[in-house]
Amino acid sequence: MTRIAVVSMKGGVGKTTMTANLAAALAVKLGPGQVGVLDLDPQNALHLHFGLGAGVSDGVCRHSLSGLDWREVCFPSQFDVVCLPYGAVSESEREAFQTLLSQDPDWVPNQLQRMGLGDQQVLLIDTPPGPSAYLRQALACVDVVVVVLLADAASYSTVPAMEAWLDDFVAQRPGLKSVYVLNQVDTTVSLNRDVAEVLWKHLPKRSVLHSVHRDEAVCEALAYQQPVLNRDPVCRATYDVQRLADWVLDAAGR
Amino acid sequence: MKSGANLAGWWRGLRAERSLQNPRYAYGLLNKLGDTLIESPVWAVPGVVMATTVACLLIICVMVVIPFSLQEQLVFSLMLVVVALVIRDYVGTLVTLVLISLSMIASTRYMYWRLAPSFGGEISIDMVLGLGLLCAELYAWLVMITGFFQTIWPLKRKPVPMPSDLDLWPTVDVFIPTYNEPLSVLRPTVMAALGMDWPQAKIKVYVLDDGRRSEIREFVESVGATHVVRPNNLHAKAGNINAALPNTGGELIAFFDCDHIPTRTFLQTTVGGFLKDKKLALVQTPHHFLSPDPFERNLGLFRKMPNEGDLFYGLVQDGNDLWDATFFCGSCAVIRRKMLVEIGGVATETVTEDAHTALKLHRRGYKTAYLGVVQAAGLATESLSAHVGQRIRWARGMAQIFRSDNPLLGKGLTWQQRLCYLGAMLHFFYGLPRLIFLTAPLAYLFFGAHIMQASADLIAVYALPHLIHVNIASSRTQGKYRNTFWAEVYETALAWYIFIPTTLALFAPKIGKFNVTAKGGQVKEEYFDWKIALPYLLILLLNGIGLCVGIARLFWWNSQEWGTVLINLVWTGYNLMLLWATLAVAMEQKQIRRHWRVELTAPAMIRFDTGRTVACETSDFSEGGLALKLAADLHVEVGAVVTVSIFRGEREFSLSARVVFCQGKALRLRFEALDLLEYQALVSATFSRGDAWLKWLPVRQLDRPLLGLKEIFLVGLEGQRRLLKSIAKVALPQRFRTDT
Repeated sequence: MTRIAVVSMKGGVGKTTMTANLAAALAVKLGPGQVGVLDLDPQNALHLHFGLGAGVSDGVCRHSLSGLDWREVCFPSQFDVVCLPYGAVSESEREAFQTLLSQDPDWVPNQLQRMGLGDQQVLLIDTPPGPSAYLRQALACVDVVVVVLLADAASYSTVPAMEAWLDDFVAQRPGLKSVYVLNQVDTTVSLNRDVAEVLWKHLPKRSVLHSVHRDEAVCEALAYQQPVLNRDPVCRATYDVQRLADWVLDAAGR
Repeated sequence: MKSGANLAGWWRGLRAERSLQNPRYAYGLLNKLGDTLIESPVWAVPGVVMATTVACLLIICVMVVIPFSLQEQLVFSLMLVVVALVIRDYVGTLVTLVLISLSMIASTRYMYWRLAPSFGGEISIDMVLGLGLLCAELYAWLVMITGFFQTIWPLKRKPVPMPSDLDLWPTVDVFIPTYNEPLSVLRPTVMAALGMDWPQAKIKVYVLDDGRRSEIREFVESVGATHVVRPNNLHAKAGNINAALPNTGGELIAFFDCDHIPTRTFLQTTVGGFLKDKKLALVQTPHHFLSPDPFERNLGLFRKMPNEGDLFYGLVQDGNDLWDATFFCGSCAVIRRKMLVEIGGVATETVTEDAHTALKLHRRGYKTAYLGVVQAAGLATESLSAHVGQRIRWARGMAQIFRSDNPLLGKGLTWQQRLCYLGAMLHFFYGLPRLIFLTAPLAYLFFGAHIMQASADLIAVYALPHLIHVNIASSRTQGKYRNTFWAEVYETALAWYIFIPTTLALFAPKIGKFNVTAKGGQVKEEYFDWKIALPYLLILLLNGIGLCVGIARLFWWNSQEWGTVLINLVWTGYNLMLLWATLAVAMEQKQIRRHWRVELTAPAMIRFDTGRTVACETSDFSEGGLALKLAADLHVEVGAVVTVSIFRGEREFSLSARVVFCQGKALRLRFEALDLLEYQALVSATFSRGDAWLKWLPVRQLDRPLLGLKEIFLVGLEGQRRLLKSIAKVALPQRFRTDT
């Protein structure tokens, strides 16, 4: 099984959308039943990208608290991606889950182990922005980290903190691969272009940088509750995500 | 009917078997035998190589001089031809060398046979004319020998990688000489030169402007290059470069004609060799043309058939490199300053200053290198008359060097270098011999002069094997870079014009001035270049009459020596074909594009003002616009303004453009007025891509001599059609014309 964490240091960079689009692109390459997404973000928005709005109330949060198997909250979608939502939960349930995760650093890895996924399967984990127990759990078990940021000054300023984090985890898990995804790139906007150029120049050598262009089709896709790949198969964002999927598979040794 | 189908099937099967994909030609018994021979331990024994060489030479000499009767010669020639036909499809240098040897044996045997009876006998008109033909044949034989020598083993040198320590990288000056070329031609070159991947502190770009124009100065300074002028225009381009030498200081100098746009990888590809080899003085790369030359344009053969340059840069220079005899071609090259200064700068004595400069470097014992990787592209000459003018200059310059600094004489050259230079120079004296070949059969057809003192059957058994072997061997060595017989069309078209200046320069090397080759213009209307074509029309007329007379001779007047008549008739027929093809070239075709479209497949993106995008690929570009290939049908209003991005690796270059055509999966954009920054982006994204010209040689089928003959025949027919049309146009009054 290949596990991929999608992370960011800052909210609003399109991380959840990226997770959904990347999963859909991988599903096209690997076929049905091979790709799953795990939503560890309390915003509980990931399943919406797969048209799973109504009828999905349960998720990994409540199941973990009741000691139930995660396999019961695997929701298949029409896009060949199996979705494990966070679940709509109360504030107290969320806190209880977070406490559980803080006390048992291997909770998520163990749950995934119990699910018994096959070697060929790929699981993407969406995490909340910034440092958290969710992020720590995810990074403890993944093979590839996808760091999403925007081509703006705010995102750029988060790079050192992110690097420090990654350094820590790479020290523990030497095989960990990472890629920075510069999201919503639009080189016709001069600030956007400048930050992109600076990032290209200054990002540490060990991380790969990958651009995904700003594209109205991505927003439309969310409105229609589907991945961008299905909304507009020939737009640049789709093309960029497909290339990212290629890179991820390559990095995972597939 | 059935047997006919069987026969066709058998023929197809044979053709399929002869295809190059057949592994027999790569791994067959013959290849194994060859490998065994090459890898045999025998060669390590001292003296064996020498003894084998001497033995082979002896055998060759015997095969050349041994007298045979008609029948014996027939059998002998048939044997050699059969061997050549059988082995010609097998891969490997050994087979190439055998084919070349066979060709040299057959041709030299023919020449030996031709020379033998010429001595003695009383002087007659037949003999004088015959002597002329003999000299032309001797010339052709010598050109063939030197040609084989030059191309026997192309070196295919690889670029030397640059060291990772930037401190070791030398300083480079880029010289872009210009005289009267417009800013639009100069602009992309300067931009691309500035954009080359090299440490900024170690590269300076100089525009050497002999026109001393203020608008050029303004542009050059606005982009960060240096505008250099001098008080006079002495010695044209060479003088221009020499005047700039004392005021600049880079260790290496890269030269670009003002219309040769370098890729960003040019320096990193070419400079490595200078660090590795301290004796290296020159690295030359190919001149690649992104527009068709007049031959290609007028015959509609652009990118379908190799042109003259493909042969020279694809093969001849690579072959010269083996003998350390690479020629400097004036542009797309790097020279070490110290050595250039040592020989007194670029040579000014002749009008081909570049070749002469290389000669001087070679005389000093410095090395030269040729890298067959296209690292720059430019425009070809625009019209046939300009093309002819350029070739006249080259021919005149070569003749001048031959007279004033003959490479066969003087110090410092190896015999191999002398042979390469001899080959290069001889090549330009084809004017007179070609004219002789074009008119020789007329001596018999008109006057009954026997310019070959032999019976038809003897001529056939000696000359035919020679012709067959030459074509097989040169198809083998040059097939990828030239179609058999096409060189003859090129030479025929230029012969008359080359003949006069080369002859003049031979006797008076000092006469003649440098003429700048005009490029990048338009030919607004199709027209027939009567001025260029006139001498050929005359020769054509003579050959036509000759053909009629010959037919009369064949059936009535000289039917007793029908063999001789037939040989001369076939020869005239071949000449007529060449001449028709030449006349097709003289019909100048319309050239209305202001900017040449260059094929390029690169990732691209269109961004609409709605924020939607489309990922696509470029199919071609020009300075004026871009054609895109889409993955799915798209409908866009013609006239809509979009932003188009072209990608180079992860770098993205965005330009604003207007849709001018949209149908199905094809989209064509015209750039809006580009500002300097956008223009720089365009040049970076297109012309100066490192991978822009990787596929510079046209992809084509294996050369087959007979196929080339057919092509020429078809082009000849087209020439006839065009000539008749032009005559009609001149002869008919205005009101009958439909095309105005």
